[in-house]
Amino acid sequence: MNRIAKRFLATSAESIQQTQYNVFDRGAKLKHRSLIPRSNPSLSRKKDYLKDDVAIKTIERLGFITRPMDKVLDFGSHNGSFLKNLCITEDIPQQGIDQADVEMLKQLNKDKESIRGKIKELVMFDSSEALLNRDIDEEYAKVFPGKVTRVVGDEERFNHEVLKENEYDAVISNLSLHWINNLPQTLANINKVLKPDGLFMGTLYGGDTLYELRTSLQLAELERRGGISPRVSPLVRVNDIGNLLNRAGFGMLTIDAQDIVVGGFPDIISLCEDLQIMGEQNAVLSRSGYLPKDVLLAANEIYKSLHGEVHDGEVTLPATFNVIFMIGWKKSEDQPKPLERGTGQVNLKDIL
Amino acid sequence: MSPPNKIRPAKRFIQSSAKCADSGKLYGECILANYTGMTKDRCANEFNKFKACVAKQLGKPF
Repeated sequence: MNRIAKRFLATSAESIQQTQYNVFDRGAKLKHRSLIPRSNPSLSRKKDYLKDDVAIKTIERLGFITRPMDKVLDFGSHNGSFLKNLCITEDIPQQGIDQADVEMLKQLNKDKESIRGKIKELVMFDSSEALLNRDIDEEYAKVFPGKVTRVVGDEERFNHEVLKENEYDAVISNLSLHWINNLPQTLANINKVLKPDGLFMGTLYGGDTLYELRTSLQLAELERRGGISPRVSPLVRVNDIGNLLNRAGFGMLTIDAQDIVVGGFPDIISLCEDLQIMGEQNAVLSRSGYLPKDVLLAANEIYKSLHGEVHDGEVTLPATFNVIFMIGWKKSEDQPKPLERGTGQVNLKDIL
Repeated sequence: MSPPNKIRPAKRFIQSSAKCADSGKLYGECILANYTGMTKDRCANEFNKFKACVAKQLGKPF
């Protein structure tokens, strides 16, 4: 009796470390992300708009970095939107565009060229082979002078041989970290593969992403069924990012968030189809996997009433994607640091 | 994945609901008026009318 009680009550420290609280079904997510790129690549390419937009914003930000970027890791690279946007030169229209926009496009093309020249080796890392190799034969990659390596591996397990310590000058990661269960650990791993004073520039979907869809489904389920179930992923809030990056060992952080609103969906199904083609459908472990027709009908009407936009008498649905941009540097001895407490020479009282 | 020009059942379903925009709008407005204190079947009357209209469009109950 005594022995049995002991076995039930005691938990060894080892087993605590191994149990990890999982929110996302990584296996299902891998299938979601691989399905369309494998079966219908051209359809998959049509829904790259968010990834392309964020890749361009990343390039604009990288343009300000004067550090060498010999070896760069694109962690969770999808099909390689970063590489694609780095290689494609923007067309500058001759008419119907104001001077400021022309200057911006010119600057962007300049940035692309200079970053292309700086990267000697780009390692693209993603868990979905079908998605990673979708655009492997595209012509645009020929303008990239450096070496491109595509590596298939698990982002969460982080055990691939290319992920060596102190290996990369910079790591970028666009719109894929939101499916990671253990984000603090993954960020710490990214920190490890960076060289000292190396740059991490990442983006992920944050708190208010798809809030219209989330609230419509919640209200519809509440009214029709009397309860709610997880239909949209729990996401990181922008306020938590600083803490997360700090814990992972990054310093000199820059964090900002931006709403990208995609409008013009005729109904809720069109929006969900787009998400499916992007490989972003629900993969929460406790998802119900089935949406009753009643709830679907109700959610569609609630979406229209609460969030719909009227254009020429037609109601269309907008979808908000809240993208968090984060920049952090791996700590190093020769980085500028704040002075120690109490070493100030000037009394602020005298100035203010 | 079905070929692009074939309409998926869910899409056809939601498209037939578009023809019931008026009764659907009444349901949406009821939710909008009550969303701070939502309970089960708060807008059941409006929903049943809307559902009946969609079923008529589909030609079968669901």
